Amino acid sequence: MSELNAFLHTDLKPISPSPLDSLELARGNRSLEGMKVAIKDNIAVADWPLTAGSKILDGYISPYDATVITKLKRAGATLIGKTNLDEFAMGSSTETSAFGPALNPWDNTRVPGGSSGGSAAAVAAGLCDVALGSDTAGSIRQPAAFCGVTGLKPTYGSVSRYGLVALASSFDVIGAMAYKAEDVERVFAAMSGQDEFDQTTFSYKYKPEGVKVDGLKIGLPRELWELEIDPEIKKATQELVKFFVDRGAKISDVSLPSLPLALPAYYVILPAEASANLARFDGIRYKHSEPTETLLERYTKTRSVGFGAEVKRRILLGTFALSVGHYDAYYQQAVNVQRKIEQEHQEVFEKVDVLISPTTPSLPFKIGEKIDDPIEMYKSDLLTVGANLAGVPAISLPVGFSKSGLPIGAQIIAKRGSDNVVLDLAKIFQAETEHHNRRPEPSNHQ
Amino acid sequence: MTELSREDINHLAKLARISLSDDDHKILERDLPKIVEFVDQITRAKVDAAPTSATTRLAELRSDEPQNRTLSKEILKKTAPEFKDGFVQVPAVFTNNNE
Repeated sequence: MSELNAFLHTDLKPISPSPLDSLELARGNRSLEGMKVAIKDNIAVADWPLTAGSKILDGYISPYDATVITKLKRAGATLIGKTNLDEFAMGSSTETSAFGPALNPWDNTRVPGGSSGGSAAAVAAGLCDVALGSDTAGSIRQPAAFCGVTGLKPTYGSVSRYGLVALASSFDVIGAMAYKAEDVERVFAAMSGQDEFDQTTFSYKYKPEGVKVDGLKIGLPRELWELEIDPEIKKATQELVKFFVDRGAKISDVSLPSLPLALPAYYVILPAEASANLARFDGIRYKHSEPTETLLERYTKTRSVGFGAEVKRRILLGTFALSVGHYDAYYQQAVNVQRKIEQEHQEVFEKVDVLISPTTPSLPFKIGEKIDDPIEMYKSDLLTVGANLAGVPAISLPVGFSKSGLPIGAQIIAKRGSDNVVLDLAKIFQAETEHHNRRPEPSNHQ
Repeated sequence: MTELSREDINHLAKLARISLSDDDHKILERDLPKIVEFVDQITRAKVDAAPTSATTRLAELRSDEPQNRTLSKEILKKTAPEFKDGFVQVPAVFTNNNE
């Protein structure tokens, strides 16, 4: 278990439903009773440490439960620990974690993806039934694909962000990862819904849709399929499409013309929001604090020592994008692009029910392969970031394995609020296929 | 393309309240111009001004009434690095030799 470095704070005692909860549980649906859930370490669990993968939060203990944690506890789940992640969820490999990278259970020399890489690795290695992650540009779906598990990025606003360490508040959403779409669905059903502590949540009640594949309209977004994608990934994704076509679905090529601008627009909006969100880590409010004479030095020194390279890069980039003289050209323009992408998604979902594409352009890469080239690392999210800018739900599910034995994921995207549609389709596929039943050899991770 | 000199980076770091080590400088001077070049493509894109309100993203808001929630001193005491006489303690805000 420790070899994978999937968990942080390994001495935590699992939190099981307490007798105090039992009255509440008896009234509730107890839908998660007996389920072992791991929590990404950017989500607050009362009395447990929370680092967000950063030294700047070393020693900090959460004083309260995130709303999703309150809901999981009420549904009877057992919380087993907190998982490794890229520092403040900034990364696609867990290599930016201040506590060292997590490893991919399918091949120890490769990354599990990120930023929810510890969660994906823990699920893949069978260390928990379900893990919570957060997805801002692909941070649930990309590691799910890299580790051969299923991961849902819900509709923005369907799950409360209260108690989630904020990265880019306009895009952040908490979701679940498990081998089976069914388990992801159970956790999503338990934790979604409006929350007075997160004003971006809307009234949402999950119910299974009973989607019919016969007559389902599938769109293949040209801008995604035309990207440079590993041929084995393309082929496995085409087989997912064929599965639905064989059962009566209709496919068409569709276009979302502004999608090629999604990643660059994201890398303006994200740093801008992150630079503001991370201003609170100042050596005054949280445990980590560098001893200095003056207040200003306290800020600058604590942040200098506490933040890693990727976090500094993004804070400075955000400061740049928001500064006088650059605000209109970068930030305002990026917001315009984002709204345009949102609009194009609305239009495309008037023509088709779902979009399908590969989840990642490449197979899990080697540890160290991309860490010194930020742009290459950012491109890990090329296929996933669009759904975040549009605020729509997307699920990544296992659709095959490469000749070298590495997992492959594909994503199904639907319109806002149609989380049940993507979950249903994943369940239908998994009822008749075996990819989600394959497990890594224990020798790969022991 | 927007240039980013060492001076520019120092200025950004000052605004962001981060002091940079030599190693930080090396990495940032290598990477920031590349990232700015990458995102620069949006500045050339022809998109209309965004609608003033993105109604699709706005959820129903709660009524505008103060919520009576306070953080207990016990919690503050546990989370803040320095706590004295019931207050979070910070270093001197003003010094004699401020710039």
